[in-house]
Amino acid sequence: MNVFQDNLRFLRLYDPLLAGQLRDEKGGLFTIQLAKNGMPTARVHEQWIHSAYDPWKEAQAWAEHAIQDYQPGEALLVIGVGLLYHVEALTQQLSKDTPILMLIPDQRELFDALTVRPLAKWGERIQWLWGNIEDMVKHVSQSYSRIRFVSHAPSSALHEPYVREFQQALRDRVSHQCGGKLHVGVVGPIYGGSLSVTRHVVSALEYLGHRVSWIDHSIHHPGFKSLDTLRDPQLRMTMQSRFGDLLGVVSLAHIAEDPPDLVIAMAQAPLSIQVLEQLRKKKVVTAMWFVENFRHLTYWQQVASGYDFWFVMQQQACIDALTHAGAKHVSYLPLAANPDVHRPMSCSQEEQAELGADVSFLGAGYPNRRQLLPSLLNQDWSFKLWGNEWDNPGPLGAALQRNGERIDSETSVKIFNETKVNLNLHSYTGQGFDPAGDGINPRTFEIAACGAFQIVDTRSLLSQHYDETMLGRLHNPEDIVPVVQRFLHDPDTRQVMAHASRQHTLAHHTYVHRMETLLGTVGLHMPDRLGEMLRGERSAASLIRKSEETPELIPLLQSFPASDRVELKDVAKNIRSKGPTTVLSRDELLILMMDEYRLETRDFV
Amino acid sequence: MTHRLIIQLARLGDLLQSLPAMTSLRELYPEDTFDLLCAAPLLHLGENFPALGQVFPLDGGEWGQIAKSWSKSRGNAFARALQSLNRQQLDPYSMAYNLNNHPRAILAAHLFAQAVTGPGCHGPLSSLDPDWMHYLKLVATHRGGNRVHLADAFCGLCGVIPPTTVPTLQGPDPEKDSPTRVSRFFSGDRKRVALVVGSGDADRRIPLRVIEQWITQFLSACPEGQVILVGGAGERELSHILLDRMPSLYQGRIWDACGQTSLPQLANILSRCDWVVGSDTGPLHLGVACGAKVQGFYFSRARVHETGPYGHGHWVWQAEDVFSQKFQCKVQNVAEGVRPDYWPVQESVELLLTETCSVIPKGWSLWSSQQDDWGAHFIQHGDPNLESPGYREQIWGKLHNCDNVDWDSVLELMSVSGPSYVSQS
Repeated sequence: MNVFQDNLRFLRLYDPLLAGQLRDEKGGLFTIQLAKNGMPTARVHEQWIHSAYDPWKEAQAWAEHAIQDYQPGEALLVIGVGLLYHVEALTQQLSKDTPILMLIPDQRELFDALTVRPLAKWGERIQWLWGNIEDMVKHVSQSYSRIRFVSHAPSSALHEPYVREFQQALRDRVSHQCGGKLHVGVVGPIYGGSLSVTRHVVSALEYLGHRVSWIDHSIHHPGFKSLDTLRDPQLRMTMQSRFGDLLGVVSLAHIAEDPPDLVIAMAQAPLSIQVLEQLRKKKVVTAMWFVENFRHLTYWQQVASGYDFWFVMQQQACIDALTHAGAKHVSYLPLAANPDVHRPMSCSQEEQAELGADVSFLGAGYPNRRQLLPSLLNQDWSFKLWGNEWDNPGPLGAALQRNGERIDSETSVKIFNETKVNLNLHSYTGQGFDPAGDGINPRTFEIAACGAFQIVDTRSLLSQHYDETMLGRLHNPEDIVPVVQRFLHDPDTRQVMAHASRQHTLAHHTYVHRMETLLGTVGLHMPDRLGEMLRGERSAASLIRKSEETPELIPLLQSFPASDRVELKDVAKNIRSKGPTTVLSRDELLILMMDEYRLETRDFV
Repeated sequence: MTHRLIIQLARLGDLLQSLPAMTSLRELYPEDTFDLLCAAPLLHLGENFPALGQVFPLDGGEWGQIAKSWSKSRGNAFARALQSLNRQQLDPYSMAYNLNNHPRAILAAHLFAQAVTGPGCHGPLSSLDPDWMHYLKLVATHRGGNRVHLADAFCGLCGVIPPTTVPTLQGPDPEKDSPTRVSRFFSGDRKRVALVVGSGDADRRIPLRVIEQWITQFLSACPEGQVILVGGAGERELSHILLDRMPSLYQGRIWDACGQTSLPQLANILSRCDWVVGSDTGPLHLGVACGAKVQGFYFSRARVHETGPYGHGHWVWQAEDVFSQKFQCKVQNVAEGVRPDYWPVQESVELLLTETCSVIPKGWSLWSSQQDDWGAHFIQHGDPNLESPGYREQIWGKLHNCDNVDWDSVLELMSVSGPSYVSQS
């Protein structure tokens, strides 16, 4: 009997269905050959999956590094199959009660591994995850509360889209299970589009029950703006940069005074790499939601490595660029709507007269818009153009409203509501539509949440969020006039689509959803810290439940409300509040002693 | 027989200043056992203290790790804290004598003992100070004319009067505690001086050029003289610079022991020196405890009456605050961080070689240490009657075993005694 047959017989004992599947498999993903030390190794084309010299030694080193941050009680989820050397090494380095889950993206890969690597002696410790992603995610999330991912890069890279889909599905599922409360610091920009998103983020986090400390730098905008009066461009830029640096230090001071569990910085937040390094030294976890087009604003290159987590509204090219620049965790997180702000509303007659139109466009005067929008003039409909940065508008001046002033959120919502066809063209510095356009602008979600109708230029990520029953789509710039015409004369269809897009937005695309996803991602990658907090495992009730081995802690925890998160400083504070004449128990004294040393570490958290 | 615990978690100097209190406690309770809880780096030195039972370290590093691990696993952190506690504790002590006003020392006292004398005696959460602690805080705040030595105030904190004999360390084991070069350097009949190069606080460090001058003048004036440079690993760079600057003529008579000895080894070296010279630092007081004669340079915040070398026959050069005397303003407002312009190098070498000093330079006063029933005190060279009459006796009368201290009269006594080191009449 050969190695593969032995393995199948072995696997039948633990996962007979998988064994049955593998029996009919053919394999052939890997080219297998002997390494210099005589052990089998593998490659895909010219890419080695394991060492060509000593795959076992390499796997042992990998495993040692992979479990550096592992905490008892966590389940280890291994991404990347290869020839399973690294998995066997993990079994040797972890205690027998550590659950090890192995994701199988492609059974051919496992087939190849089982033809050369015997499972006996260690394989019984592995739980094989295969089949439907939804079922796997359900099983994993229900079976384990603390999951730590470890990735074997050479083999996981073979199935990147699959792995991403799996992780995203797990993250989404886990995020909905999070009941624990955090203290989140939100650092906003001084001004700009991400300022309004910051407000929505703060509202969403508060809605979810987290304590939010918003470090609002928009109050410094007049000071920053006053620097525009400096005539020397070099000096002006230097002063603006210094101003930003100062606000970074101000952020640091706020964070030090009341250290949050997580700092979420919004795009354009004035946090320099020096400030971020200082935060990392002080053990503060940081995340950046970069709600900008990474091709237009490129300052991310300087701070990529400074944040622990990046969330971006564009996909692969953006994720690759950030990863290349040193970012550790980069995840896709599209923009969204805030139903408290972006909602259907009735306007007064005066407002209807001013803000209403057959066709409207709201946005800044980017070159592609200046090129395309004139086609909407002189048609059998009324057309209004709203927004700023429309200097020298040319023929569009006739449609430009309020002299091209910036339109606030409240007015925007009224315009969306009072317009029959909202045209939504994504910004582009070239002509026509952006051929590489992927991310979706906030207006897409906002118009939809208002229950208003929109026509939008197609983006590669649009269909992931809305289908053609919800929005009118423009595939070519030449389609603008006919598509507008078609929908303008079909009010019933407009109404049905607008209603569908609103319902879909409320169900999937609010800032509350986004914050759940963001926190879920952070929790998934930090299962022992933020993950534990998010799962509510630091609540008094949970801590009492887990105090079997140290029952001395129970009386100290019972004085807290069951759902309150309890840290060492809280227990110590409770003891200290007992009054100067109180006689303390040994356990209370021990807590105070630990707290004294906690104070000495000078970490923010 | 009662088990008693002495807690001193501060640095080397404070641990050595606690020796008199330990001695007095032993004299008062000869039948009882005394253990010591000290900072972990001082453990092996503590083991050389006289008449102590066991010496336990409080390992700040370990407790820091335990506190950190709470965020990952509370149960585990608590269990580790319990383990750390149980590892040290044999039986609960009847009494802990706590000599630090730090919360950690107060908590440790209550963790290990049924009752506490010293800071924390009113309970671990009480902000009330014992009387002697309050007195020390007054001294720190007002300075005034205090004449009570810190080591004697430690006695007061423990509820005992200063010892009748000046305590010294048990003789270090020469086999165990000798660095390899010691025997070669200490052979022959020479005059050996240990020179303390560094200091934990930068403002108590004697300038390098002054040390250089001192060595040159001493070795020039005393052909049989030898110098041992004493300090921690942090002072190695200083000592290297110093050696580089020395004429090659003297190189063979200087041994750089900075950073090369453990504390017991350092104690061994100092016990074999005739003199220890330096600023108000732990090694200087270690020299005192090892039986060497000491000459201290006290400047910046160091005050001879508070922390001068304990016992008979030591000398202290005290830098004066010329500014405050000139303008007749209160000393405590300007005295912090005062650094002299002139250093009595020549005078110091003369004193070391002849036990006399012909001229006291401007800006300095010279004091010799004495011992009486109220502990250590210092007599000014050339004016032995200057000490505030009865100050220490009156303070002890007001504070020792009194239920209700009249603090107004204590403050009055402190202020009428004038500044703590004034030599001018």
